[in-house]
Amino acid sequence: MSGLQTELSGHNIFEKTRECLVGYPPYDVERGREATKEEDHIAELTEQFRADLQASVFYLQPPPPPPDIERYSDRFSAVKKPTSLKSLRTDIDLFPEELHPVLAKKRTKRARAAADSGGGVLELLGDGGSSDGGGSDSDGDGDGARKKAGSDNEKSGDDDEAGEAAEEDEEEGNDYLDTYFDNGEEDDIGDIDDDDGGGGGGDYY
Amino acid sequence: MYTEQVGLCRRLLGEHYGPIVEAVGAALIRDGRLHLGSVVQRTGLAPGSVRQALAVLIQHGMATHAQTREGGRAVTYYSISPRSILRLQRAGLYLALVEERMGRDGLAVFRTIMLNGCMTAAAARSALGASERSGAAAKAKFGAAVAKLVRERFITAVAPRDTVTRADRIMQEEAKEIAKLGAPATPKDLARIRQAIRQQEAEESSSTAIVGLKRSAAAAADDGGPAKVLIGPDGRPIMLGNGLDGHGHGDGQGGGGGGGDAQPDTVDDKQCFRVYYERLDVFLRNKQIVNYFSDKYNAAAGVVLKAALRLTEAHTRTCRDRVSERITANQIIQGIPHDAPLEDGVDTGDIPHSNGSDLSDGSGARRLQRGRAALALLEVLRADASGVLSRADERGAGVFRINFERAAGVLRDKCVDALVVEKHGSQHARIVRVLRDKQKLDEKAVAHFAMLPIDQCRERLHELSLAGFVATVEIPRTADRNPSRMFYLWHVDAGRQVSAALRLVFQGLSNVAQRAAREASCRAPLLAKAQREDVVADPSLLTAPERKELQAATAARRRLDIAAVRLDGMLLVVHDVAPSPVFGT
Repeated sequence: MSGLQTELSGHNIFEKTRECLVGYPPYDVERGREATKEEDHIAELTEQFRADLQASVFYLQPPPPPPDIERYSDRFSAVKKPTSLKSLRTDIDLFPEELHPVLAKKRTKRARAAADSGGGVLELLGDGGSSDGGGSDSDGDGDGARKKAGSDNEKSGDDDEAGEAAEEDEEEGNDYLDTYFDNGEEDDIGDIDDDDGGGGGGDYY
Repeated sequence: MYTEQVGLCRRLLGEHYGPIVEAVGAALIRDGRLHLGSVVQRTGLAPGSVRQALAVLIQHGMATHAQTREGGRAVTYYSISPRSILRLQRAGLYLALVEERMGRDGLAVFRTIMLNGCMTAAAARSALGASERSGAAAKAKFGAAVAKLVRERFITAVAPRDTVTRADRIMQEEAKEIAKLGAPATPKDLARIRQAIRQQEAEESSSTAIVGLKRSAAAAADDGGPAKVLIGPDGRPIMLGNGLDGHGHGDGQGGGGGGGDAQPDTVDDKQCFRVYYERLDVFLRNKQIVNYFSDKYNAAAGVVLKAALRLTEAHTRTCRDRVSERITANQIIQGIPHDAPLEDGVDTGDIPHSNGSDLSDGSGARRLQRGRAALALLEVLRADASGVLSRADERGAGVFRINFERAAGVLRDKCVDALVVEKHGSQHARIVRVLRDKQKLDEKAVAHFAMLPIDQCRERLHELSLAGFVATVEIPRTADRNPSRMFYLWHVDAGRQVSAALRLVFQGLSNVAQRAAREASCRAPLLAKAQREDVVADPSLLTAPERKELQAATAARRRLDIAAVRLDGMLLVVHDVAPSPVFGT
């Protein structure tokens, strides 16, 4: 059967095959009622609400995978700065204690102690570390202004993402450290040389 | 809880809040009460991410927490509410409702609060840009919009106890009371304590005090008697408690600050507010009731019932209220808009008055005619078999009540009938209606009333029974309960019908959500390309087939959203409004 024969006779060699395909006859799909203007408006509001939520601070995503190859579109893809839940202004009392770290900036030990005791004890003892213009917590997150340089695991309250991410990672398992670890910075080491070498200042003769 | 419901809740969480919240929500839905460690273990996510997800869920009112003491340490358990997750797909309906009633300013404030879950007035103000630096006019507009939303109870104040799981809170109060007794509690003591707690809860939930609204000194001074004043739909005050005995509309006496719109209330800046979804459901349900009666009778009847329902809205808290307060015919007539076509809707025997002629003496006569037409329509609605509008007082000239329980039953029956017709056919729907009308029948009687041959009738009855729309009752004829010698009576059980309807609706919604996800994932590269900065700046970078495909994607998403809105209308009726107790949450 050459092409020339079908062109001359106009006979379609696939006629029989088409007849066999009656398993899939044309099907009239019911499209249902047309949308009214009201329904259109409601759908538009729904879409807008969904888009707003997806762009908000509540849309939590795992961190993106590390870049593997360079792509042309990388220079145009809008890299969204991931916003943190800590920027949310809400009533912290609505949440249980164990969720407070994700919603409020963590305060240093000194700042927490100062808030608890009203600042009186520290004033009496005198400020050992750096003290910048009053411990007034101007921002509502309660971020202590008094920070010690090189304090254990606490960086100063900059909004740097890397700093926050690092803080996040380091804060993860540090409840044990905060509760039990004492790196000896607050110990009074003034008279270590006077020690008799055995500790306890014994008068051994 | 239905299988389809779980799948649907997962998809909704994933679409709106991301994959982390979806995983945490799914774990809580599947396993109920969990503490943080269990959630971390089940989801395999980092503890920090799980904490963030739980905070998001609590912020949006979908999860609650409760602290218990276990072996000396305090453990916090979290629970989730699928009902509040399902509200996510009703967001468009709520926003449209608020736009209709509160205008654009109210909508802007409401949308901000809804997006954030719960926020203070100060935070909302700065989010909207009406902060300290903008003019006094903008701040005044914002303040008025928020005050109106709070007064009408579209938003409600949040206290820390609202995010605590209710069951735990009640158990802790019980434990406290039992501890006060000293001796071990007897069953009588326990019953008394539980009764007292239930009463307290009921009082608190039905209290009419609006938290978070501060009345200014001028308004407080004018406040005379104990009458509560609320604002009606036309901005004029409605008296409650004093003026409802057929005296008609009050003139604003005894409080209210002399007029409707200029309420000098301000909102407490530090109070956190959230959307009061149950109250919004009341408005949506009322709309459905009006649509039902408009379809059954005509638009004029719908208008009259709409005016009546508007009057009841001021004192209807949630959909669980059974009967409305008393409303008079005069109040209803005054609530009907002037341009509503009443005279065409009912035949009062009066000569129809054309709009253009005789305006000089026409207005009085026309008002009379409209009054008569409205009364006639009220009578027609009162005589309706469903009993939704009933006369409160046999002697009174026109004092009515609306029975919400019966209205909910009517809406539920209509929804179930529609589902049966779609799913099975009109003959099945005929059988369901016959059984609903006649209560219990055996299959010969059903075949007789439904006008079907007995074998076809038997087939259809069994199909309906499989689906759950009809049920049987066995009545033994002999003492040995021989199955071959029993009467089997078919009947409709409202609870089971609602379960069957819910299953179908959840399946439909889940299918819609799945299809939407599939459409998005098929076109993911194209959608990502459309978000690129250079493409957003210059749309000509997209080829013509790509643009066509994007339009098709938008149109498909729009159709799916509209389908979800229509299904959600059914879900509102059978899930949130239905009077009979159903299984699940």
